[in-house]
Amino acid sequence: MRGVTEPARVVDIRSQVCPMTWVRVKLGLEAIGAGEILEVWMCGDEPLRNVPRSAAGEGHEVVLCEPAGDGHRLLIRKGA
Amino acid sequence: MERGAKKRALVIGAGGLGCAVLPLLARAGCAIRLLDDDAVSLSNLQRQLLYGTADLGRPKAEAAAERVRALVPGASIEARLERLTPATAPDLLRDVDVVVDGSDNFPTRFLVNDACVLAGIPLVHGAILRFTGQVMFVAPGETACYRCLFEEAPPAGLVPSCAEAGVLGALCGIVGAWMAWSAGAILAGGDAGDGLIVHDALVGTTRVVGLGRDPTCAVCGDAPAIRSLDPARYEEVRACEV
Amino acid sequence: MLDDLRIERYARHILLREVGGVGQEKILSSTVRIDGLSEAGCWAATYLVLAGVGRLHLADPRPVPAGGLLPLLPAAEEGSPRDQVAVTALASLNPDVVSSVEPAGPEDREYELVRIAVGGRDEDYVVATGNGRAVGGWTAVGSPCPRCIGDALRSAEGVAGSGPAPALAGSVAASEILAAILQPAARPTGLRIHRLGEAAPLPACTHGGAA
Repeated sequence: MRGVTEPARVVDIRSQVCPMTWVRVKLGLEAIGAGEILEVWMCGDEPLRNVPRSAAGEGHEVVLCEPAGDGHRLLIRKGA
Repeated sequence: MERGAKKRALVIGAGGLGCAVLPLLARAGCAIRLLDDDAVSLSNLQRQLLYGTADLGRPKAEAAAERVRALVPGASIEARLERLTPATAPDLLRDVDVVVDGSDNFPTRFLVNDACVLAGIPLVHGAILRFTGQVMFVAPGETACYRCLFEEAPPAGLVPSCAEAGVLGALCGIVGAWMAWSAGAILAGGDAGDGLIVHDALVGTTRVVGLGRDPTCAVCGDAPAIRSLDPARYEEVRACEV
Repeated sequence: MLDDLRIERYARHILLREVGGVGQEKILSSTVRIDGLSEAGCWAATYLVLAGVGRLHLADPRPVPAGGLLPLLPAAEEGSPRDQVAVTALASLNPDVVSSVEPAGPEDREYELVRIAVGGRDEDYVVATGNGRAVGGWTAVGSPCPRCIGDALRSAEGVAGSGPAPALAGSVAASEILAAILQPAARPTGLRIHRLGEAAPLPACTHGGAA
């Protein structure tokens, strides 16, 4: 299993509503370098459905998605 | 009550496309019945040109009608804070010469299409997505209809996600202008062709894709299976509302 | 530059892969000058402001005509200078954009001419409207040939008596200018006449070039 490095940035979208959920994650990814990790805290079905899919669609890799608190925690590695 | 010579358009949606087409229709002297049950929100202001910062939270149909009247004195515009439904469609279409559809979801597009085909009313449909815009004119029974082109709504999992909800604002003006152009041609007694106009704003090109009525179409074909507006067929799949 | 309000206002642009926060900041940092607030100029100015073009210089002291100018100048403003009325109207659409009135204005032509200069670009984008038709595009030279434009606006191309022609041309102008701000690589130059469908390039100039 690939080692996961410390996140370069953390984005908390638990209070956001679609589509601002993905917008915030996207801006977070822009702020880090290729290969770096963005940590995302989210809750609810909508971001769980959309954020990983949108991230993959823009060339990023979801390296971890696990339940955390009353929602989920995501680690996304920024693509090239 | 005898109606005068004034033509009437039913405009579905006061969003990006609606905002662009409404002032053009009003200036052309068309009476307008506008349907929209939504309120103005901040992310709308990037492309919905009838609304300013002071309109946030207001019902769109009201704010749009007010702005159109300020831009076109004497404009006849009836604002209705409602959506088109299978139950209300026949009444809303009764005295209308053309329907201009600027809605942003598949169930409504199919409902509008089917209602127009069943009532024999010409329809101008517009859509925008990312950098692409398209306009289609439907003369029921003569040209292709929306269902000739798209048999049915995509399954829920394939509905565009948030990431695909981006749109270039100025595209609304381009598509809205073509929608007004098509509607004007219809109201003047002519037609607007039998094709799909597709514009790519990133490359700056426009294509016209010839269509043609599909004789096997479920609603406008030679033996249509759809002969009434069954609500079950237009159930809302609530995607992101931006 | 992108605070919470702006992130929400421009969300639909930021969502575009070709834009993102980086692209939206480019738009917010850009400067555009519009000489000529014909109706086409008003459509272009409106969509550029809605997109968040940071600084807008407007030049057209002519009075607002009777009936106003879609989609920006209300009929009640008839008689007031177009550029001043536009500055006020645009501010209520988007407070992020700083717009101001500049001297000069549209060149004197038999048709309506809008010239749009974009900061950092050599070419201007021009839109000419008249006779229900519209011509638009980038021009590499100082001024496009007025006779070519006049001929195009009288030609059989386009759709006669077309009310929406200025709306189409102005919106295409805004769209092309935004695309140029986002992707500054060379854009196709050359004027085209707008139609219900593919725009048609103007024929090669036989009048000895630009005026």
